[in-house]
Amino acid sequence: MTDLHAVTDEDPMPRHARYRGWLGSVALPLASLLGGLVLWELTVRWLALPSYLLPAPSEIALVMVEKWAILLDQARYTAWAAVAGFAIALAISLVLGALIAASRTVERVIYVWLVVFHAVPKVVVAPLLLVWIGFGLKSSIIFVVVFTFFPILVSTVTGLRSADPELLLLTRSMGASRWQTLRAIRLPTALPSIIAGVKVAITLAPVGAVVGEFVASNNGLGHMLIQSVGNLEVPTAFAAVVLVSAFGVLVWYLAEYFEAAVIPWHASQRTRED
Amino acid sequence: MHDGIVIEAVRRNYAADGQNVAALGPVSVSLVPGQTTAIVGPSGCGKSTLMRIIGGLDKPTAGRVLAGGEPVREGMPGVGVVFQRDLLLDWRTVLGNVLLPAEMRGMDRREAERRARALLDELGVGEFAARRPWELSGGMRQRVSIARALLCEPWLLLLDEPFSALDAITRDQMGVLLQRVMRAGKTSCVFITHSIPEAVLLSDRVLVMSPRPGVILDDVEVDLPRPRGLALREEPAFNALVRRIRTQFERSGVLAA
Ligand SMILES: Nc1ncnc2c1ncn2[C@@H]1O[C@H](COP(=O)(O)OP(=O)(O)OP(=O)(O)O)[C@@H](O)[C@H]1O
Ligand SMILES: [Mg+2]
Repeated sequence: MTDLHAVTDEDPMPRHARYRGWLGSVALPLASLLGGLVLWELTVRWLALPSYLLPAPSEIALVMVEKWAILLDQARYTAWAAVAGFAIALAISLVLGALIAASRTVERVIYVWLVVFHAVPKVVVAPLLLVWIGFGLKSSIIFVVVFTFFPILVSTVTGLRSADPELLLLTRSMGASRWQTLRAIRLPTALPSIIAGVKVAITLAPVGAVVGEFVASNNGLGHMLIQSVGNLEVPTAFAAVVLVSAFGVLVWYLAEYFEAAVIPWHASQRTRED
Repeated sequence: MHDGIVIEAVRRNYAADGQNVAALGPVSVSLVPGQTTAIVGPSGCGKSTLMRIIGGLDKPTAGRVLAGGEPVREGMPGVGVVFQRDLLLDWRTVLGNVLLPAEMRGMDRREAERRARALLDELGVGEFAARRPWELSGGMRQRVSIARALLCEPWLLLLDEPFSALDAITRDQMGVLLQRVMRAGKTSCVFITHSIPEAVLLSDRVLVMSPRPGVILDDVEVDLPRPRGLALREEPAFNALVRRIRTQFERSGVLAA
């Protein structure tokens, strides 16, 4: 197989490998995206689709340029709800997760509630939130919390419980307190799992914000989306979708960056080179 | 710090599938302070269980263990443990791993670091102090875990098959190395192994255990001069001891004669 090339001393990284590395990480995804856009554009033009059915990428881009001020404003509103909600969910999940992991009794009492809470179809009860909390940012933020806390919580509990028993025996032999064990062993062991949960949750944050704005806001990209669809301003709706997605992609890569910075010692980070 | 460890009629049962299974004992034996006591016995006879009980890390079902007249307890100072797996923390450097017990015990950081570096040097891995565990070979990693166990100058060192995961050559090297760092006379050492020659080479005394539930079948004094090198294994006195222990195993049906 050509993949198993031996690396010689004189040439620590053969040219084709370097080329492939660059191609793999940046050029290929970009080219793929561009190709998709071109295909989309051509399809719309070729079939002469009306823009209220499917606008061409060029048309969406035009709208984005035209309405950039209002789009940016709404995006900021949505992003703020997503970030604030996510931060609150993170804090709640870490604390609750630690409590649940520390005590079986706590687990038996509250875990079941959290599972039930998570199982309730959120989109369906969304209008209730409107009744309880009212219109506006607060509702959106709560929506984001509801959407994102569960993956972080589950991954925190699993992570904190997965410390090697023999390792815990070793720290016990050193007279370590619970708190010391938590800091020295349990938390670092849990980090990869917690971060995996955070990565799932963070992509749900913009979704939660938008759903919240569908029902309980007259601001934000979600609201804008609903409204422009209602007015058959489909290119504007698409522009909003593009921005929400772009935000999702952005936070995902932020999370990846964060992951590499926080757990460089983890096997998942070490085997990245191939 | 103590007058040796006295093990009094220790037994340990485990509950398995609703049944109470005897895993160990009764075992009664006194360990001479400063000596290295090897424990050999068939797999599952309760060696690890006995070692944990001696270190206060597990409670006996019956009987008790005294150190200097006091019952042993979990987390008592001056106990070092080495397991078959090195149990190094990937998120710490080699030096950080060795310093773990010092942190847990709130020792002076400067003094602990000085000692950690000295130990790593003595064990031949000093140049890797700033590296991460995954960059080290299995033998090197186990040296680091031995340094960690020795950091707090233990009066009791517990080693549970520390070299079982290593290849034969590394294993021999480690045996010789261990003797050098063991602080002869100051540390009582309990050394669990499956290898009879290794037990004889490293210890002052070998306890031979029966199959489960493990009791002590034989108590063999190893009166060979120290320091002991690998060449000792050719000596008749050495082989006589190995043969005596092996005979015990054969008699209890662990090894076919
Ligand atoms: N946590 C446990 N629960 C139930 N049974 C256990 C537990 N730990 C050990 N045992 C049983 O106790 C017996 C002794 O176990 P132990 O680990 O002390 O043996 P060992 O002599 O160290 O064996 P090996 O040489 O294979 O390491 C075994 O039969 C094992 O099945
Ligand atoms: Mg064992």
